[in-house]
Amino acid sequence: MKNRTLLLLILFTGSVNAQLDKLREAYLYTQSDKLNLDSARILIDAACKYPETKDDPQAWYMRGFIYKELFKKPLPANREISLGEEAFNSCKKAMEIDSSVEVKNNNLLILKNLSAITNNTFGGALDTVNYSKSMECLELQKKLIRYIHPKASIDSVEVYYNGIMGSYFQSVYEKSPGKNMNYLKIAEDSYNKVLIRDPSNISANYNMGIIYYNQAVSLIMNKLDYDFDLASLNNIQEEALSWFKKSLPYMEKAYQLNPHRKETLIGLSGIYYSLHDNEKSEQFHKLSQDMDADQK
Amino acid sequence: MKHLIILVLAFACLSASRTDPKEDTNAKIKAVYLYNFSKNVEWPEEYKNGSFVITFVGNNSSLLSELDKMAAQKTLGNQQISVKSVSSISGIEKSHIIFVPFESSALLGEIITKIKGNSILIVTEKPGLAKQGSAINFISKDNKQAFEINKANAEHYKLKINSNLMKLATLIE
Repeated sequence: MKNRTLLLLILFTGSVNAQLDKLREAYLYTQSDKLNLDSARILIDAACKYPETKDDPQAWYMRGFIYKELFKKPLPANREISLGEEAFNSCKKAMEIDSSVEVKNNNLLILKNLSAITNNTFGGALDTVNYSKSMECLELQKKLIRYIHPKASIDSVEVYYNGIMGSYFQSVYEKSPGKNMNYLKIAEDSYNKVLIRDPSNISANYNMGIIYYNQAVSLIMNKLDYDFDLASLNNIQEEALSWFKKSLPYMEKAYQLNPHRKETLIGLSGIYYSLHDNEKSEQFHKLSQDMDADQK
Repeated sequence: MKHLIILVLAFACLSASRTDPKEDTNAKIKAVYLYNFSKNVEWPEEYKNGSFVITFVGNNSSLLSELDKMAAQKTLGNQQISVKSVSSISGIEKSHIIFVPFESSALLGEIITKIKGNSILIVTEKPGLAKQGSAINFISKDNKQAFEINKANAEHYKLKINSNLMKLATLIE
């Protein structure tokens, strides 16, 4: 609302000329009584090319606003990231032309709003069909955060969004293990991105451990048939063993980071059991049971 | 935004969905081994009719439930597989295989006495038992399920073990 009041002030106090009329017209097309974002887009794109207004921060600010609205208009899964990019670039341009505090604050308001929409789009597009849009959102969000909060760590943005991406695809994969390995790969890649930036992330370590552990279990429980001969049985065991071994360091790291998390204790007990280390399996099983007893 | 919040929670809480005891991988592997043992050991002619009986000494085991699944799906030639669990050793001589789980290992001596004169494959899972009367003993080797064979213990019960099985086993004398 504040944005719109400022827009009105900017647009209706300027000197009157043909190009400013275009800006006003474009603005009016963003209002609910005359809402027509496509017409506003045509007018503002033209205004940002006219010699009289192409270096006018008001025109670029207006363009940022209109493109932000265009980006927001459809449901999250149908949004075009390129519109968000245009909004971002337009506001940046406005601030480059005029470095005054007023212009900066006005444009930052749009960018903050754009960041919230991008965040919403990331979640709304996160499904097995539109997930590449979520990945594009992450890239846009990183640019926005860098610009809005220059001192903020981009690592935390990567950790946050890749963690969500990883757990979403892990849960989709787990519904039909072994069916779509691409989902598993996305989950694995996402957690790896988290762990590169935050090696002490408990959830990512634990979930990586679970991904590999479940791979091994799925192999034995679903692929191993009673009819398998001894050589095939041995091959399955070898393959499962490599997954169990891959799982162990992640689960141990999760345990090291929080020795009192029951899920991790159960996970370690399961991995050691599958590795035929019954002593260690029992040790972690007992710890998890002690935890149950403590909670009673 | 609501959707995103749900996803954040999911990131923190994904659980070890398969650390469920109902999905015991070691039990499944042992069940597949036992089926292979059944196919790679030859019993005397009089044992080739009727049901093929696997006796499990004890109960409450995930291996027992795997064996039940296997029996429901598979046969051995024209023999149906029948799995029974016993808490005492009476009547166990009517078996083709007797599986003695780790916790019932102390009963091995009594079992051997009880089945004298029958052709029964005794399978155990405690280190050292292949030297104490079992023909096949499950062991773990390099983090994998493996097995030992004591050929003399098999022959004592008039059982012939296929060379394929022998090749993959650790042989005990």
